[in-house]
Amino acid sequence: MLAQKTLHTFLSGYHLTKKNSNDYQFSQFRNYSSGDDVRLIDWKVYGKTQKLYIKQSTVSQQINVSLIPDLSASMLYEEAHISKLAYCKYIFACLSNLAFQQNDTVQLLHHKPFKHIIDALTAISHLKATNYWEDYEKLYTKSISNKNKNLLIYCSDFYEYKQEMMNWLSAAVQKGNEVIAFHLTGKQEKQMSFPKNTVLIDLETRQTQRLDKTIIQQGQANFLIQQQNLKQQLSKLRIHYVEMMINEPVKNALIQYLKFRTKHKH
Amino acid sequence: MSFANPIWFWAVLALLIPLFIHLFNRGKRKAIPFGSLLWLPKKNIKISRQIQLNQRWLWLIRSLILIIVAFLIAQPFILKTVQQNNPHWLLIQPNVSENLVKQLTDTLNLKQWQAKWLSYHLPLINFKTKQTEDLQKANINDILQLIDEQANKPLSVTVAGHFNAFDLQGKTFDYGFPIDWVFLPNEEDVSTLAYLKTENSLNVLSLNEQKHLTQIKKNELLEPADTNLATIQLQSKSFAVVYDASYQKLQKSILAALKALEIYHTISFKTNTYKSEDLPVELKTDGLFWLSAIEPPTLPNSTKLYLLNNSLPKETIVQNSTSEIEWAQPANLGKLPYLLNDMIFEHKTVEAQLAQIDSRPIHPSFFNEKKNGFNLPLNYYANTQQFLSYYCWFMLMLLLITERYLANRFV
Repeated sequence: MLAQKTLHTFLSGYHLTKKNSNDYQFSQFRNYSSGDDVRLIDWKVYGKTQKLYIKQSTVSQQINVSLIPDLSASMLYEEAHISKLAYCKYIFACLSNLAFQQNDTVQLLHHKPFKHIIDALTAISHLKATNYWEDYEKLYTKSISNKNKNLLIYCSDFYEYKQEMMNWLSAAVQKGNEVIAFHLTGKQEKQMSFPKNTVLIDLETRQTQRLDKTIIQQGQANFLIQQQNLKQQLSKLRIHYVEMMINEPVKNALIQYLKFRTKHKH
Repeated sequence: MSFANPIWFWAVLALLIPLFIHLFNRGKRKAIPFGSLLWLPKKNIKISRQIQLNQRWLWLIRSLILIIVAFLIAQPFILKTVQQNNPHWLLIQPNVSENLVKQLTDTLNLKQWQAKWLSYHLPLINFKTKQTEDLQKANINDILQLIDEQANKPLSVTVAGHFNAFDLQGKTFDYGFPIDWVFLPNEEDVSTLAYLKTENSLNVLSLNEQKHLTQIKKNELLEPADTNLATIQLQSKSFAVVYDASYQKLQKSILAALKALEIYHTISFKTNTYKSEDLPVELKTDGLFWLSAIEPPTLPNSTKLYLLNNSLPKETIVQNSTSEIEWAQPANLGKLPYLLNDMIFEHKTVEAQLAQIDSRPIHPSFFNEKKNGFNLPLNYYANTQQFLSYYCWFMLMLLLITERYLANRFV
């Protein structure tokens, strides 16, 4: 419901025309019936025939949107009671709604494409994050194994130990998939704005680190360096990198998706 | 296990200090789940379960350190239980007269004691290698060593006899049992007694000087005498001993006893002896010991007359003399030094002195005031105390090293 409301707010006015002009081809006219959107009435036909007709279109091109979340335990990191996983689910819910409206097929990880939006939302809501990324490697490999070219939407915090994510993304690109990588970060995480006496507990390894001034400074610098490296590596693979703060509105993700989809179509 | 300073064992309560520190600090530190420490500098990263475990070890070791420190201060020792077959032994030298031995055994409550003649009647000691003649001359040290080599050692040994100071001098009687020395003086050994009493290492007592036993135990005798005016006055005392040929033995005993008192009080007497037929006309002295059947001459008031023989009726003397008279007939010569001490320095009536002497308690080591009703041999618990002390120190060092190692490695 939250995703639908967000999407409704997001798409009101501007995007409807865009959707019609870009993605749909004329199919037939049908008589106007009460309750139909007034904006869909073909006024030229009305001028000629003095009857109200609705212009119906068929989808010109379908895209298979594959939603792939990072299910490692690090996604459980939360700021202001919003975890990265929850934010990821939120993005996926909005995107799947949008995709369904555009008659795109939506699939989650290795699942078959969903027939109904409700199925997609249910599957998304049941996502859980535990253990390491490597524990789900088979799932990830399976999700890019079909021959269709997909639009992969990958949400992760990009904490990897042995370049496992990069290898997988590289394989996905090689198979002809288009990839948008949403890098989920937290403001506090990026700026290391924790009190001095804090002890950080690694959600994956359960290691702890007591923070002091030097660690905070080096942590801030390291984050920026690692992020820069990540951008470079992804750009080499021609993967669209989007940094998403889990504190910011989700509409940025939708805009990025639509922009990318437009490019992808052309 | 007992403690010499049990009150210090309350120091164990210091264990609560690290516990409070731990609880106090725990509230201050805030643990936040973080995505990954991958991009943080690798500095003192620990696994949280490991930390908990290590901290438990550290806490345990630090607690043990405090317990051991408390132990060290409390000075633990182990009381040896008394075995019925290990009684206290009383070793009597063969040259002691039967009268003295009877007196000794009567005086000491020998219910729990085994009296043994030092040479002839020691059945538990294997003397097969030695001849009887040798045993009569056996060195005390050798015999004690043989006793010490036995598996079934006595709890304590008391050696009674006429000891020569030179026999005991310079020897360390360090055996697995405490040794008490009961000095049975004869008329010639009073000075030896005085010498022995000054020996710190030897627990010497005289049967006839019960008063001194307590003082020996308290080491009071080792303290130098006061150098006040009273002592100086005492130093000026002079005595004369007048004797008949029949009282020669008593005369020698008096001289020896006076010598012993000199040593005991660290003063010096001017003592002259006269035979009754050679008595000078004018005799200037503080005290006169009259050991003769002849009536004493009239003495000035400043001279005190000491009558120690029963050949003269007291009433006769008192009637004819103007001087103060102390009269006593010692039951045995062994009590003489003590008797003279009271006569000269304490001016008590003789009857009171004698009554006091007889009613005085015997050696405190024979009766024990400890809880378990027997005399705790000091050597025994001192040994265990020393051992436990070394053991505690060793454990303390070991724990400190371990604590430092763990603290450096994990903290």
